[in-house]
Amino acid sequence: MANLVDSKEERTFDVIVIGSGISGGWAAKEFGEKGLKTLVLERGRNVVHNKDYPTTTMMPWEFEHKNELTAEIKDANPVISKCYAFREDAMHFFVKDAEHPYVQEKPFDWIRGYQVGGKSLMWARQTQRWSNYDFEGPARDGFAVDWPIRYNDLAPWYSYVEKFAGISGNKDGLAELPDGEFLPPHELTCVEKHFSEKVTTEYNKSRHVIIGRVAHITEPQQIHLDQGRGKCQNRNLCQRGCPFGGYFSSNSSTIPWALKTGNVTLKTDSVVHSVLYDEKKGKASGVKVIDAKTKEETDYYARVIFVNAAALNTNLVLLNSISSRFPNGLGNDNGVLGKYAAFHNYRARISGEYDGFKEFTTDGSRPNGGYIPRFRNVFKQETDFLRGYAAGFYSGRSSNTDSKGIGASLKDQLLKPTLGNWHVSSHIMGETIPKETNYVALDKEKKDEWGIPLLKISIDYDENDEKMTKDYLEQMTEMFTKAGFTNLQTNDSKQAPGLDIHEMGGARMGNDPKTSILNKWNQVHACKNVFVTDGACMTSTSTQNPSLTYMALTARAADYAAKQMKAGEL
Amino acid sequence: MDINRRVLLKQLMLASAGAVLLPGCVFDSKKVAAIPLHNLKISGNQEDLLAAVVDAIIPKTETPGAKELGIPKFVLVMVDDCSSKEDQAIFVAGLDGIETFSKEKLGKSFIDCEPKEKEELLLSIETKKEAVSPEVEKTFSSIKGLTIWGYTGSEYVMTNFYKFEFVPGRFHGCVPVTNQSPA
Repeated sequence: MANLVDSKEERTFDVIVIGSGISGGWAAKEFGEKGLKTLVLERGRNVVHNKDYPTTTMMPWEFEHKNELTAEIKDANPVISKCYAFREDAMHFFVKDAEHPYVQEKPFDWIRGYQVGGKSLMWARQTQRWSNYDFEGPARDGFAVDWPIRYNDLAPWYSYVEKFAGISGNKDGLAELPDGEFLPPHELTCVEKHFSEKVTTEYNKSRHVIIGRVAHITEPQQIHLDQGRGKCQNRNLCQRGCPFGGYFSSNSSTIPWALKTGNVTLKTDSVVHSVLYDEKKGKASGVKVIDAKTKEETDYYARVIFVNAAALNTNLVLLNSISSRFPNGLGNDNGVLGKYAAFHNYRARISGEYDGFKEFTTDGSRPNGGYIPRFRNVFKQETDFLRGYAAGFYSGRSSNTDSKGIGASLKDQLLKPTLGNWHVSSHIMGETIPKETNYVALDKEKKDEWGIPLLKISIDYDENDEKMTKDYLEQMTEMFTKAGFTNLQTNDSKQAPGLDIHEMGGARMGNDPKTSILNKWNQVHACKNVFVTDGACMTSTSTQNPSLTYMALTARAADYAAKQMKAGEL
Repeated sequence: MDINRRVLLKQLMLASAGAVLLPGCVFDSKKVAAIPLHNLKISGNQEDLLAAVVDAIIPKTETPGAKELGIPKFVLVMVDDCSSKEDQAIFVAGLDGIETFSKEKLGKSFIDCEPKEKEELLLSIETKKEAVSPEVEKTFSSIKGLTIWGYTGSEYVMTNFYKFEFVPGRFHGCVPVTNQSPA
């Protein structure tokens, strides 16, 4: 049946937000609250909190393959199968390899979630603030370009988003990892406390082991109850979607909040082809959308456009936004767009055992772990590589069962597992240096089924990453040894970039329009009514899990945009 | 239990190393397997044999055994869906090999053996007391690993013996070990 009357007026909004993931959800909430008529475009299907979490109440024995992947799925999905969370219980939230191909000029495992909420449904929920040592990094160490903002610009916005999202953490008083608006922290285990004390003493308070700051409601405040969210129940099955709204996701928090304002329209199955540019007015006028199912093309219009399609897809949208004014992509006068991409180095791990605290164990479950803030090159350059790494740190007691033999005796053994030693493990989260040679671009020939060029990804490690990986393993071996951990095993997986799911950059922020795409308000230098506040905006990566910073940048930019709109500037 | 499960899974994967395949099915292949399978070609007799092996590994005592808990089906589903074609071929060959081994040693089908005989026969494979083909060794090891995984991961065992909590609602990082501490 033909479309009913559809006027341009009905397709005109104050703001269009491209993407409903962790940053798009925040943009939707902020603009909705400010009374601006907002259209949120999501390329995937809707995932309504609780209604669309098909596995969330399934018991472990109810999964046909005990949460393993079948050979058929693994064979068909060599990339996504590498992701730790792509298991039987959550695989419906990840993009399958064949659905959305891309071109790997160099190996890159691109992990995506195309649905309302994006990857905020399955993220690892670690939320550490940046400090000035992070924002000042590029200028001090002479790489990338200087960040156009400092910690003080973002600090109030960190507080703002933390209070709403619900962040659990301990006030550790560390200059390199500022404290936030914390709900009660999770506990460290006996062994983690022991490690923390040893490390503090052995390194004269220059290294720390703390509990991770994490987006879990450990003690609901009124603002969380108002969202219909409750206390985290420690199921540790977050990737399935949480029936309690215990962790922050767009689905449980910002999106329903935005919709409740009555000002926000959420349109799913809407693939954004490009941002439309009005040559006469000299600004963006809207976006071209292709229906994911019917392939029908529709233009939507707005005064302001927020691009929150996830780091690399935001690059894709901007690169594909071609006009006479911008023949190389929106805002790309300098050729920088798509370049200076970076990520986090998650290659290295170390594990061991601790032969102590045998009379103690843990009780319950913790959707969090220990965290070691960056201690290398923080206050001054001190190694032969730039920047440094943070690290995760975990401990727990293993369970031993004797599986020798057959029959009744075996059965008896299996029913009486014994507590094994405490095991300890850590993984690196290393800063990588954004470089012109690490880039994404449009493939010149290949297109997807919506007629959009495939993204070509060319991102790799360099010598700095190799030195840093080696240093992490050496330093952690030393720290583990000093803490009395034994049976140490180190591993460098050499995994391809991408699997960290912390890809960033391509449309970096900077003061100078000649060398950056976005200004200090996340506004495209050359097209002021377009903003980018997802991972694409990142000038450097530092070592912290980036989502909290995207949330704060988004709320800050939305506030600025709304004020500019009110003042008639946008 | 996670570590244990991973070790078992690893064993299962190890069972894939290259091997010469034995000649095909030695059973009456007319009776088809009752469990719908995608890849494996298993006869009803082979299905019965597998159930008997699973039953012998974790038998019914005063508590239900692996067979009553539906583990034979789990073993077949996992081999059918989660192993490679090569491993599946080894699995079928090994299953036939167990039957052949039983006939050689005891002069009768495995399912006709007394419980004690079954146990000893399988133990002799596990302990390598008897020389059997690599397929038999690997298949037995796969079946045992999957049986243990299925059994220890069953609702019955997890709720009655492992104090499984779906919604713990708490975490304490350092509590004294008691008789109640889940291992």
